[in-house]
Amino acid sequence: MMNQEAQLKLQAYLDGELPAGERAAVEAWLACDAEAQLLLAELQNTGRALDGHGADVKLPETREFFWSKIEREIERQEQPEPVISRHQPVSVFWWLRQWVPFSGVAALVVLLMILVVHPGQSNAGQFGEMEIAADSMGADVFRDQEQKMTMVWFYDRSGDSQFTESSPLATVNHQ
Amino acid sequence: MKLSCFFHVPFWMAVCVMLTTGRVNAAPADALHMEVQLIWATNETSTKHKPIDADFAKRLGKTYRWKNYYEISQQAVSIPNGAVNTIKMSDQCKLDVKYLGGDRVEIVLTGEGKPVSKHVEKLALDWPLVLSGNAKNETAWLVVIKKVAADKAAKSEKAK
Repeated sequence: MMNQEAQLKLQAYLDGELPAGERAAVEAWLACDAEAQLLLAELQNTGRALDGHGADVKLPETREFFWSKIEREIERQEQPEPVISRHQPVSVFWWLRQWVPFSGVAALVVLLMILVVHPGQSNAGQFGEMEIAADSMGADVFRDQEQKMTMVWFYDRSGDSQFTESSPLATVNHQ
Repeated sequence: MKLSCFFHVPFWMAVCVMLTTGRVNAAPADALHMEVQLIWATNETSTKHKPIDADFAKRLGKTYRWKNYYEISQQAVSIPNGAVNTIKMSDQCKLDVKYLGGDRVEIVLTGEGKPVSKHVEKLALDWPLVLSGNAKNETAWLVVIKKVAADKAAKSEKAK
């Protein structure tokens, strides 16, 4: 049984790919080996059969253009890839979606703080302490929210107070 | 949801505003600027006395029954925090005003040399305190204590 190396050498001899020294050796081997002669004949027959039926593949472009494309692809693959940023440009609508809810909450918080921290004029009308020095006197306090005034009215309980009527705080000349 | 989405610009703006307003409100004023008026209320007209501001007279007329209000005296004072100012409104009337801070004042009304009343009130702009009582001939006296802005107080000082 012929080994694979011998078979390949016969195929190479048939294709004309052997150098002169090895070709002479193969011819000497064929002269004394009947099995090798049969294999050579079979290979020749197979070659003749394929020659008549193989389809030729024709490229749409010329050979030089085809190889230049391959060369360019190789060069492109050899170049380092550019860094692609993961951060995509943000659209206006994305910002609006983020701003609207938080802006509303922030505005509400600010409004509440203003009402709490700056209670406004109403606080002036709600705070107050008073002491009357004389038992014969009384006082009424009226906090007018509409007119924004705190009014204290002193009156005489006994009727003989020096504070009212007989001794007014303001001396006015009626002329 | 990432935690960073909660720390948004409007949120931090609100925090800054809150801190600012809280800080401003907490800081006590150095001095309280006031105007004190002694007013005579009457239904008679007088050419010898100066009428008070018409708008303020209208406000007084909503509560008091008198038609005319005349200014007897007016003073503008600035009271430092913790200090006491004595304001003489007339020969019979004076006020001892102590600034307690935070727009709160303690006012002692003295008439005829005797203490009449003591008040602790919080003053606010355009919210005057009016101490009042009957006077002769069915008239009335009013002591109006107003808080004024610092720039208005400065103008009053310059006018003097």
